[in-house]
Amino acid sequence: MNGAVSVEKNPWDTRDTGKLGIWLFLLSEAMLFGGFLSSYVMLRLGSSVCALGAPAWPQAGYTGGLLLATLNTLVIITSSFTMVNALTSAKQSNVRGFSLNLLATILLGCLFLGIKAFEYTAKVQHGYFPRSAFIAANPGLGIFVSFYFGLTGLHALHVLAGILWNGFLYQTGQAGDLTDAFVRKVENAGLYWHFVDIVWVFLFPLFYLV
Amino acid sequence: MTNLIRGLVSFGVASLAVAFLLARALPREAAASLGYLVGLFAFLIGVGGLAAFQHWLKDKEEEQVHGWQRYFRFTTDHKVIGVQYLVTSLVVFVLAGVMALVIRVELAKPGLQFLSYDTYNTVMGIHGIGMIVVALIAIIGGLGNFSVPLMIGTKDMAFPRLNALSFWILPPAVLLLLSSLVTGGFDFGWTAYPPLSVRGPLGKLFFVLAFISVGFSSIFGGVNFVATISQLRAKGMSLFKMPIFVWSILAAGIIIVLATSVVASALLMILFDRVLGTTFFDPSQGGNVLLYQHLFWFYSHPAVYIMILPAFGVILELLPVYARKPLFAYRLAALSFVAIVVLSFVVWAHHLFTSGMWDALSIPFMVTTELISVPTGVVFLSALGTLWLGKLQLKTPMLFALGFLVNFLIGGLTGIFNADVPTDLHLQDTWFVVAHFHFTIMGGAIFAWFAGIYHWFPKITGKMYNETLGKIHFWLLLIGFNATFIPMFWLGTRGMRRRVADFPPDLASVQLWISLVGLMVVLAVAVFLFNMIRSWVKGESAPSNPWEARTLEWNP
Ligand SMILES: [Cu+2]
Repeated sequence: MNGAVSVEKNPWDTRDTGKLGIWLFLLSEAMLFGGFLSSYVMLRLGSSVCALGAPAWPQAGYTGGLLLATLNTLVIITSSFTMVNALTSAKQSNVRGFSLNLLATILLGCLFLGIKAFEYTAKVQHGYFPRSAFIAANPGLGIFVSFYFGLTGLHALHVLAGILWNGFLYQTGQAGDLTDAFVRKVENAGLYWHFVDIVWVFLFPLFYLV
Repeated sequence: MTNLIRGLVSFGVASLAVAFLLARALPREAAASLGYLVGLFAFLIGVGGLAAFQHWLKDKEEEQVHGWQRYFRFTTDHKVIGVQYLVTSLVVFVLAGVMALVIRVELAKPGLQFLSYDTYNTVMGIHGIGMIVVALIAIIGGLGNFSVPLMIGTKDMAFPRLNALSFWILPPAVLLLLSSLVTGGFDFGWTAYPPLSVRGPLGKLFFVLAFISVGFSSIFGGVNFVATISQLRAKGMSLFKMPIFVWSILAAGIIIVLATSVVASALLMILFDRVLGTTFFDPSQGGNVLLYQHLFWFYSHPAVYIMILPAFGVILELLPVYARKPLFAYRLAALSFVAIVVLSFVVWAHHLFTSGMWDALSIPFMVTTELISVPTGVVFLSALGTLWLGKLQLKTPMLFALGFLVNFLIGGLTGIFNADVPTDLHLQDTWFVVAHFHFTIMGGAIFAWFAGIYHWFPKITGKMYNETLGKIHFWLLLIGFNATFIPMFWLGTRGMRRRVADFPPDLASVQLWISLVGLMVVLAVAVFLFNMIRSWVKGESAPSNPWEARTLEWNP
């Protein structure tokens, strides 16, 4: 079965194990958001049999925050572009280009969170949050705001983690030494950042358009 | 030792300080959650994780620490981490075993002895979740970490620092779980079904946080094993040349990566419901409690394969060594692991036959569940084919492997009655189910774990264990375990409920029998611990390959 195998040390550096690790981790992350999203979709599809007698989901015409969310979609997609640019510059050992683009990614991430915070504040002021007096009067909305805050909040935490991760890379990259190992780190951070972007691309239509 | 103590002190001080400070401004549950989070980081820094993080940022290699101190600190050597996992598993195994003893004392007579109904359920819950954690980490974390890199001929895991991180998340989680005993407990067993889990004392929150932490630890471990096994094999070791144990860890790793975060989503919903006031599981607000059961079992059924696939791996790895024959139908066994991985994702709703799920789903899930017996049967045939005409050497590891086959056969056959809708309607939530899963997990995974510990003991410690004590351990455990758990099938058919501390007087004699004969299991574990400690301290030196095994870890 395996008697003939010889022990040779692996050529560690030629295989990009780190990238595989990130992909596996993102797979796991996808299942986390998948758990939430499929719950949302299933409950929403099943809401016609909801026993409340009131519509369990926002009626047509509910457009709270659509403008802000559209803006945020643009912001986060742009940040994916700057992330790609940062990686390209890093590969070309262009320290200045790398730093500027990564800084732009970080700032766009912060802008995303800022807009999000503004939107949350507006929603809370209008009573669109779990167990508010407004929701008590419209109990069917309770599950919608739960999913809304649960999912967008979880996503916002992921954005925050991405900002921190990029921040560490920015700080390390300032030293100006863009080694191969460092470029691989940027690439991995990029994969994560694009994943966070894609999750938002799912959240946006599900919460604001349908 | 200083690192561990520093970690524990930081954990205690930081979490309590933050929790009490925040409790002035925030609701209690939010303050406690944030306190735990800060405490967790303080613990990781205390045991030496911060240096590793800085090294990761700067691409510096970890320096290897020597001497016994390294077992008590953040270290990246996979062999050390394997031993850390093994010892931690044993500690939790003993703690959860003490809970089982408490349960047995309570159940020795009808009526309530010294526990209330709620406390009984908390004790049962701690026993349950503790043993689940043991079954999740003992073989993969312990034996897997120690042996897999050696078996595939690489010097360490793919992500050594992540490996250490996944281990060191566990101690705070276990402490948090235990502290729920003094914060109101959790009376929902190990499953935390809402609505019971979304209201009530702080102890329930602790359970949820500990569960999520263990989930993270498990995911990190799974990612690490899948990456290691797929990327770092020695030259010439193609997939179908890998030892079967490595196959089993790979299969379990894939399940961990795909399934664990789904249960995390369910537990996060409970956390949000408790801490932020969301209404995922509040039907009066459009929430749905069945949703939790679906998400929970989408992970927790595959999780039994996270526990049992590595056990299959250990058994199929050991049988050829002690039967002096190559593994029978090696390829087919490996492929049946893959089949089990796929099938394990489409059976979860067999836990919901009586929950009020849409009835039309019952039959499909019954069929998929029973389909799993096909690849499981292949694993059994592979085991039996290996034994056939072999020169059996009945050393302790082999005895445990054979014991596994007996126990798991009983566990598997009684599972059919739980998978079948008509019988399950009667047996659901009775001790029949309890007996069934103890035969698969205790009689299966734990027996395989013991087999593996004895088998690799000479490799891990360089010493030989005492064979006589090993055999005494085996016979005491095999007889004691069967005498304890077989009557539970009968109790279940008589209607003995899983979560009720009391029972009708006509079951009293059998319950008393179980309480008494269960002491054999205690004795067996005591013999085992004595043997392990004594042999490690002053056992004879072991030859480099005492079993004449052919896998790479035995290469001198
Ligand atoms: Cu199941």
